[in-house]
Amino acid sequence: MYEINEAALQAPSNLGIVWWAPILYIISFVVLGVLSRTKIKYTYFVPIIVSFISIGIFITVFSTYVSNNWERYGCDIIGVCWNGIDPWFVIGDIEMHFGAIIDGLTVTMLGLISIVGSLVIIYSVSYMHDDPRKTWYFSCISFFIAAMLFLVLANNLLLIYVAWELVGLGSYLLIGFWYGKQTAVDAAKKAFITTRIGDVGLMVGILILGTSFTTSSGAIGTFHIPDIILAAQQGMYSTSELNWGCLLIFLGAMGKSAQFPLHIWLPDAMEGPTPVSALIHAATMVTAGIYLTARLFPLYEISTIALTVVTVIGLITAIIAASMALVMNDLKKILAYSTVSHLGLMIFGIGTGGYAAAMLHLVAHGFSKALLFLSAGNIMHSLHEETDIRKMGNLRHYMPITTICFLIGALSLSGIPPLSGYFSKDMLLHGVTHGKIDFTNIYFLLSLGFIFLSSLYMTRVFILVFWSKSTTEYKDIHEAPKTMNIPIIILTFFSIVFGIITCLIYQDTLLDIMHLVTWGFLDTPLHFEFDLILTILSVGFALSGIIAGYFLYQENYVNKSVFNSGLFKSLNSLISQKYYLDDAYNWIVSNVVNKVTAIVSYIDRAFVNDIGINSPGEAIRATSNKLRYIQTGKVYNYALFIVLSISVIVLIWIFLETGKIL
Amino acid sequence: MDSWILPLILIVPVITLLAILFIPKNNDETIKNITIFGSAISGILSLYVFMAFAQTRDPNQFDFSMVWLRNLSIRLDFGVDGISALMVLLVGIVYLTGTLISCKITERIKEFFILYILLIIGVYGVFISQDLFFFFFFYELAVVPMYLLIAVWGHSSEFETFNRTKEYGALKLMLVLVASSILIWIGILSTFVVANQNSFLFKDLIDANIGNDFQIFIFPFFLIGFGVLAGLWPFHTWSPDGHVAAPTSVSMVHAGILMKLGAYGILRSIEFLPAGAQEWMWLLLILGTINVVYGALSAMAQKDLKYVIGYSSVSHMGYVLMGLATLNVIGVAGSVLQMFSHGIMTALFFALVGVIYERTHSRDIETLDGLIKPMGIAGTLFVIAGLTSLGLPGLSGFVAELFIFIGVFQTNPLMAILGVIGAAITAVYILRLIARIFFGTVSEKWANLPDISKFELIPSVILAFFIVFMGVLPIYFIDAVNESVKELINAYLSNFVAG
Repeated sequence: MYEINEAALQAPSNLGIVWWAPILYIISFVVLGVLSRTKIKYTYFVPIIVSFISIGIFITVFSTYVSNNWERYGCDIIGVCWNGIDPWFVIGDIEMHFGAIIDGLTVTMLGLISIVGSLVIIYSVSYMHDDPRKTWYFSCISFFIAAMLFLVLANNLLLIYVAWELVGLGSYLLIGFWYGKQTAVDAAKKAFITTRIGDVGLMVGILILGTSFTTSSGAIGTFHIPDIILAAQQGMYSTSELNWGCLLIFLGAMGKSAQFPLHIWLPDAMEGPTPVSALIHAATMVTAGIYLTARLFPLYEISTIALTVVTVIGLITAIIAASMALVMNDLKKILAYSTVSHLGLMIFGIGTGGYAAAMLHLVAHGFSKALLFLSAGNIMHSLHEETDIRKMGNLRHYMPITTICFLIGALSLSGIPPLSGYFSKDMLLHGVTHGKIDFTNIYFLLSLGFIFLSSLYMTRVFILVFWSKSTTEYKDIHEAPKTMNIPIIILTFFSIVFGIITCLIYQDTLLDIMHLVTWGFLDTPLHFEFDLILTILSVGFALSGIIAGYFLYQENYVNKSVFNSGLFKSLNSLISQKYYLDDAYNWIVSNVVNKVTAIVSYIDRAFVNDIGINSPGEAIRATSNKLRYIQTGKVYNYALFIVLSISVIVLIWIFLETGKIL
Repeated sequence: MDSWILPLILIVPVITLLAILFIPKNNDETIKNITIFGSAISGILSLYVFMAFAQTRDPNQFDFSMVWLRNLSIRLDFGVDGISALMVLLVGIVYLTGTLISCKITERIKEFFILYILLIIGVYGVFISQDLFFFFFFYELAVVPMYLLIAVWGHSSEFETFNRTKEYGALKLMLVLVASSILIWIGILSTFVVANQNSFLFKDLIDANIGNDFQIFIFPFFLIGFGVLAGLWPFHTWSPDGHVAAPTSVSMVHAGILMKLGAYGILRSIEFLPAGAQEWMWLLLILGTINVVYGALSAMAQKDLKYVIGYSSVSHMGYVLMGLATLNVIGVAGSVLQMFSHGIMTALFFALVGVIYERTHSRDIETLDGLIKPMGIAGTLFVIAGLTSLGLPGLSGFVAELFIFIGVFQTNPLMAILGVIGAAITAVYILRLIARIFFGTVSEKWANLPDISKFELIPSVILAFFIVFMGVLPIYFIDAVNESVKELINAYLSNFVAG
């Protein structure tokens, strides 16, 4: 049914090395896991070396990919598929191989994970220097990166599910890394459970897509992604199967990528160490949902209902999260809401058909946001874990490098040219205006609103942290050490040049790689096209956000009475309470979930057990209690009983023989 | 030599038992050493049986046959296929680890081990018997010692609104199981008569082609009779109460092996009552799904650590029953794998609960906190067991549950969805439990508890090893099970093709 292209078959012999990236990280995980109970120092060299090798592997795969020109083979081929020889397991007739897809999408994600992973590991060496459990920390990071690499390589929905759960475990372990802190423990639990709720959808969606048709080889179903996509394009799924499959899988993506209303775990997840927030909760794991939706985009393309849901959910998330980022006072939480908001934008972009633009934004955002988180880590490191931005200010005099890097990251995310955020955002907007979707105008206006909001909250953070007058006295404040600043500077470099390189200089080769090959039917832009009106609009809104931010927060217009009364005030309190979503969830947990479980447990004891199981026993006991009075132990009682019984029997016998009594 | 392996598997515990019987009462150390030695040999034999089977996958290689009662033609007939080979391995693992954990017992150790080994002989016997009469004989042999083990060595507990004495737990367990045995015994005798083969052998009963009407009439006797032992809703309450009352190693055997006997019994009765099975499996599917969701919800409300694990067993056994009810290869294979996976996982849970209880003298999850600080290894192992329980890939439970989901999804998508939701509920209560008792700040009274000791560590690590091994390399277990299940299901299906 699905055949690998001949040209692709010749090449992959040296692509097997791609597996070494996750395998080495797993080795690092095991080695450090064993060493974590010893007192050996310098264990962090293992993951550092592994991460360099993994970057090397990425470069090899990347150059092989580019030189072989695998980007276009028509709509049924996606790069190279590679199956291991021994199956991992066999289900009935379905063999489950460790198989990889290596196409533009995978290569892109490989690059992002390897590079950001490596930089975060280096940064962590200084950041976690004083922590006694840092070996375990690096072990968990290795585990996470291994699972994440595995996730983007997998060519099979079940393997994706496996990796999906494992990255969730990595996130759980790292959020709850400081397990002595109750907030961290609760946040870890909340993250795992919320994403697990989404995973119910993912599992059921996979089951629907995997078992709804019979393959040519006679197996009951297949979880092999190219087969599924081909089957969908050949119309082997009924409309409802495809709709439900796509919608439920998207539920999983919503959990992992923190889409409204399952986004509540991500801001809490900031309880973990800051490098973890940069790696897992900004650049990689939270993008897994976007990756999955992009990977299965050909299915969503056919299922218009699912695609509409994707678009709307993405847009709602983008705007609601941006509004929350505007009013929060915790530096990491602002960045977290900003992440949620940008993830929403990517999902929205996929919904409008611009999956290539969404992937571009994923990478641009990954670099910029990792940079912002690591800068925040610098600040917290200097200010003794302080995260409240109202207690900061004027930091530009003390931490110049951090200030410049943070500024570039913030401008990139606000979409100011020529930083990379500008290119990806414009490409997304281009998709909105040119895509064949309904309500284009409304979508376009709302995305301009998003741009305004995102540059406004970025300006607010920047002014309050680095520019405005400080309200507190700093003690022994200093710029971060070099090992922490170098990764940040490298990320800044990527934030600056990534967009220019991919969209202007090497547009024909590099941006092609971002394509998932032309699977699709939608006529959406796969290249960055300069559109003057669009640029003026988007940059104009971004600049107006910055200017508004300057007046509001630097000149303190925000304290004027207009903003503290009427509509603004109630809006502010609504948003500050996170739209009462957390309260609503807590209410559900305490009033519905806990009540239901208490009732079930009560029914179990009072009815199923006490009435169903005990009462027959007690009935028998009560009956025998009564009956035992017959058993008096006195011979004359028994004799009487015998005589009575015999008489009754004789009477019955006579009755039966003669038909009458006496 | 191979044909003597299976009798040997029974003889080794018998010899161990006799040896203990003749040792004077006060030689506790000698008794312990002999039991450990005996259980280690049994463990190795069980491992050998499984590995030898996995190599050849020949269901006849271990066959052993001996006439026992000529007049009734009752035969002592042993043999294993992939399903029972895996179960034999499970018994071996839990037997060995349970023995090591029991070394903590101080009172009446001789009597304890005698009853404990008697129980194990019964369980081994069930899994290797190819003859319905001995199947039932060993089945009863396994159930009876439970009463004494719980009533004598158990714990009574008081809760806010109700009490559970160990005598109550033991009595309830005994009465419910004996009542269910009556159903099974009626089923066995009437099947024997109706089949009219003058034989209790499974294969003769299968060949007998028992009439459909009778099959449909008699199958519920087997279904409910065995189902009770598998924790089938609404006859499950003996199980959590029994767990709470039982001493650690008995809980391990109880949840780890005993409950599997019931599921295994249903599996075997499908073979000779295919039409009955086909008629009644909808009931098992629905009850199994109720088990999953209801058990998980009940577990969430519990305040006692052992009750949480007890109800989680009810919930997980629901997956086994759901898998059986699919009557397709994927579902039944998943069900068999789940039996093994749940067996080792829950044994690990109870072993660790025993470790915690021994140190804190509390099982109340409200009072325990931050235990991972003083008890790092025990905590890590508990987290591994917990992650297995919520079906994390890479650990043994995932593959089994995945197979069951796929199998059930083909027969009844709604039940499969409820099953997946059940797994999510499991995640909620397990993570709540772990966060509650292991993480957070540790209160002062627990801060200096000793970590796991050698006799507790070795069995826990053995169990954790099998959890991870099966999770990472499931193919090894699946290959052994798959063909036997395929044969079973093909034989089952052929009944309907022929007529």
